[in-house]
Amino acid sequence: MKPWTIIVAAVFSWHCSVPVELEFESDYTPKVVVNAEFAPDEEWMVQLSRSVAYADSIDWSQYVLTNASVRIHDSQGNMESLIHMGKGIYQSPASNTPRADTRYTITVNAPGLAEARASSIAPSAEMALVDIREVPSADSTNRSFRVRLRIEDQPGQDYYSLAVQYLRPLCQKEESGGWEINAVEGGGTSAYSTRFDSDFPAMRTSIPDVNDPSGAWSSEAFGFIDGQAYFSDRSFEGESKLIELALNVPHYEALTPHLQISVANWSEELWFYTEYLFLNYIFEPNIFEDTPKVIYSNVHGGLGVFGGIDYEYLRFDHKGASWNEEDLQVDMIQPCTQ
Amino acid sequence: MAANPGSFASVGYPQFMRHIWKFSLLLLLIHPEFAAAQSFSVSGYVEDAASGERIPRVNLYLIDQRAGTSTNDFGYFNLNVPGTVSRHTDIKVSVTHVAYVSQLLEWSVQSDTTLVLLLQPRIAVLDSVIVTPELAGMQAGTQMSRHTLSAAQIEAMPAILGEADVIKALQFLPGVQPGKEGFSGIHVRGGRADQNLILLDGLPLYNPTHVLGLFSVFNPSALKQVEMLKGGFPARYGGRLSSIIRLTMKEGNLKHFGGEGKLGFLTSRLMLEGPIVRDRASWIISARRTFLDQATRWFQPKENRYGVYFYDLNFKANYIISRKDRIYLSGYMGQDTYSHRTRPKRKNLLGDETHMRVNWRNRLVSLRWNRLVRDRMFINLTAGIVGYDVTSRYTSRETVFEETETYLSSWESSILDYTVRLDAEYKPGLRHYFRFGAEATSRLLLPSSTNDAVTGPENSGSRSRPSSRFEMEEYALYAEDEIYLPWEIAMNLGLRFSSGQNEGHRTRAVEPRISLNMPLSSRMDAKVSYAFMQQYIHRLTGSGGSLSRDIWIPFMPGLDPQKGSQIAAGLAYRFPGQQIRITLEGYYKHLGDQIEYRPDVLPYHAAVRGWPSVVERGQGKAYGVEILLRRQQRRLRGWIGYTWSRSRRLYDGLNGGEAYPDGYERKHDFSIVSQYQLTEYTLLSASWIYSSGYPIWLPAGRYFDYNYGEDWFEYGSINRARVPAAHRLDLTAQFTKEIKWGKRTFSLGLFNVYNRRNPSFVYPKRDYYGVIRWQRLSLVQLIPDFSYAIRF
Repeated sequence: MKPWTIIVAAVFSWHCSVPVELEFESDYTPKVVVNAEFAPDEEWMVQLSRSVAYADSIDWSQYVLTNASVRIHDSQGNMESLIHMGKGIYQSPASNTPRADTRYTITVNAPGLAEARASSIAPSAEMALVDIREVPSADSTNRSFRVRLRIEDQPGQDYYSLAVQYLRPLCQKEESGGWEINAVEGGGTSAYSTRFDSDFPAMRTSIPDVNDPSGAWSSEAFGFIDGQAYFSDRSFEGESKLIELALNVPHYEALTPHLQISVANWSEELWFYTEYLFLNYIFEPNIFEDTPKVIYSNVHGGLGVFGGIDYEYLRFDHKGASWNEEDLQVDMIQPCTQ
Repeated sequence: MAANPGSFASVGYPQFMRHIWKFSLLLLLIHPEFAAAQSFSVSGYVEDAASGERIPRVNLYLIDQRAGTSTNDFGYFNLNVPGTVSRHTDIKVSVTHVAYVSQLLEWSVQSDTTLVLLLQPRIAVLDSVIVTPELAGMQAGTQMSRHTLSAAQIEAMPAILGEADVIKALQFLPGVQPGKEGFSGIHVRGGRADQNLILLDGLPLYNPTHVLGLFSVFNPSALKQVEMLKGGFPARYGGRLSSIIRLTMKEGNLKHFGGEGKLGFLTSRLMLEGPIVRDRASWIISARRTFLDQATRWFQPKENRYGVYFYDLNFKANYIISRKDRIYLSGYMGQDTYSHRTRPKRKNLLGDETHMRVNWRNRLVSLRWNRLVRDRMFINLTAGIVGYDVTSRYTSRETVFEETETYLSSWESSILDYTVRLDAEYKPGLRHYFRFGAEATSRLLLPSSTNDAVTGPENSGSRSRPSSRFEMEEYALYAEDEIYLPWEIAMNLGLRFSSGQNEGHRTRAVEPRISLNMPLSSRMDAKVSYAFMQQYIHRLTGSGGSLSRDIWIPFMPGLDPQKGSQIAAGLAYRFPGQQIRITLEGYYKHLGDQIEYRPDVLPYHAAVRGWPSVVERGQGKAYGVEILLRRQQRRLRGWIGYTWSRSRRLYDGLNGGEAYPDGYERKHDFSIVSQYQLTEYTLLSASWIYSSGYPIWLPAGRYFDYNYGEDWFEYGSINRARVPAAHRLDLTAQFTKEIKWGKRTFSLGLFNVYNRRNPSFVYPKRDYYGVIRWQRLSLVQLIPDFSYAIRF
């Protein structure tokens, strides 16, 4: 090899990316981090930790708060003190739960950290099944249904998510490399998300699209393939909303169609937090981006989120009759033989 | 050189017309000395003796009268000679230009005269060159903060991969900061890149860079001259806040067919030119393309291929209709394409096929008509179309069990201008140089439009997310007068009235401009200037995903035009006999109605919320001191520049309402550019640059989200950290040789000789233990280059 080729090869083999020391003032003050999603009729549970300077080691178990004073009060002055149950988790000693449509404020005081306060509402989700009817299916392996639901909206800005699932005899298991049809001993069922279509034009496939009027997909053939949709109450503020869903579920000899539809009513605080996380996922790995995406927080003096959410579940079969695990006896369902 | 006073016959000027002009101008200017000024006009053009091209920025100096002028963009000059002088004695005139052999002439002028002066191009600069006087005192003009580079100077400077780059050459000047290291961003005196008015043959280009900013779009083969103004903006320029960069394309050889070809590491280019009708009409066409995509294609696996290429095409034709009329048709088109394609290794293997393609396109065409009116007034009418668009298209195709789902996403942003502009120059006497004109632009903007479509067995549909399409108009009227006052004080007093209309919303601005030049001695001048500018469009940068998505949006209700005012003062000193000039300038600039994306939005949020609600509005200020020591026309020539500067931004909704340093602020900037003519055929060039680190916005802390099982960054004060300083040394040697049918030049160069790893990007990287290490990505390390060029 000629000498010049060695020189050229050496030049091009030098690494372009190397560590760099940056000039900056490392005067970071840690803050209380609140992680709390609360729902009516579910026991108060708050996860507390503290933030660290970005260059510190990140054994997060070191940074949970175990000796904080945590108080939650509502607008009428009712106060609840949470106690530490281990690993930074604080719960109500009396197993108290939030009340629907009530605004709560949390105050956290931890030694060496600034006081953190946050406020959010415990929303209520109310949904009822209006009817379900079967319609002819073009595909003999599927059965098609039209389901009508009614959502009762409360006054104030509300954000919703809706998820549709159906029960499937437990006959498939996922293996690396792909799906494999396989018999399973012992029977059972599993809930799977199913694609659905809706006549409600405000439905979107992701949270950031909800406030975007152009985020709608325009096609008869387009549906919510992940079985999940998001929307706000902008078009039915404080009123009831009738929503029709069109969906297909596979036909099984061993199991008649059983559906589970859930609606979640999100507090604005939790909705915004989740929306920011979505944006952060998009932008974080982009080195061309000069302006980082800052994660939203409703915790004054701290970080994280304190937000309410309420879920309402509807479980019904193809005739509109409700079901539950005990009645259905899912353990006894025969394995799928597809 | 040949002076041809008779080539254009002098034209008598009717006495009554002169009185009408005087009366009109008196009304306008109320200047007591105006009517008293008696002079003859010696006007005409300066042309290249070899090609017949007209030469801008040639200095003409009346030695005994200590008066002078310089040619305009079209090579036109108007040199007024006092009537009492010219009737009795011959006048002595020096004619100088850095790229041409200087001459001393003696004329006898008895009346208004029109002539054509021919200058011989300078082959090589050696010590034997006659050093001619520079324009001095008030005749040096009022313009401050001006730098001029010829295409030859730019070609001689070291460059990445030997690719001579106009913008990178300008980055070596004081007050001009690069963006990221190695890129062709340009930030002048604390301004943003969108605040530079980059004029190619009189029309603005919106995207001056290729390859995401690594190279500028200007093909040196097509250029004649580059001029940059950083302050003291005359009233004839407007619409941007921070700088004027004027690029003049070559006109084409009127005498004979010729050309130039160059084979380089990165690009190859070809320029051809020649007469259509000898001495009456000519053409030039110049093309450049990179073959990086073709060269790297063979080294990439078929299942994962990247491609990057760009091209430029410049053309120009001109026709001399009569002694007084000439038309020019010029155009430019350029494109960048980035592509990335993936597919499974084997045909029947499961997996996605993806294809991403992004195009950036510039288009410009202009028609210009020059007319000389009664020898003392020069008129240029320009009509043109300028377009810039970015399109990206992403396709993925997934096949499972012989069923295929296709997803298509495309994004588009565009801007299209139709412009008509009239500029007139009139020199009625010794004391005034009057310029006036008007400009109208109709602009169509589509800031951001996204389309998605999915087709498959389970789902099919599409959605369109166009942001508003804007149709706006921009108008301007201007008048300026370069007034020569007693004690050799010169003043340029100008006023620009601009107006914009968008969606029924109209706004106006009166933009005063003033520049003053006061000689302190025969060698030293003091200059002061003030300029107010209004810019009717904004550029938003970032928040766009994986590749550059700069978006232009117009002013609108709730989003006022950008405003900028700059005051500058300086001293200039000419060393005796050395062609060395040192300038010291200080400036303070205020920027109003600046915008930045809010940190929580995507561009398509503007569709529902409106643009004003997705941006933060604020202001900026910048100040600094610049020193430039420059030597020209010698064996050893070049410059040394130093800048100390600060640039701050203040937004109510960002950084807690506290001011923070602009992302392109570099406190200290030092550069040396030198060229040494070793022999007539050997030119050595070296440049060294040092810049303080630029600020970056780093996270201050981290915290863990137990609901999502992820840790997030907490961002503290904006731009609180700085990357390390950048410096590098670049070298080039050019060896020229006469060959049978022309001349060939062989260039060897080393960019970043001592391989300084200057950070182009800084980004966090988590190690195995989750600890963050900051990494710098250095795009321009030690890069050797060679190129071979022929001229005929």
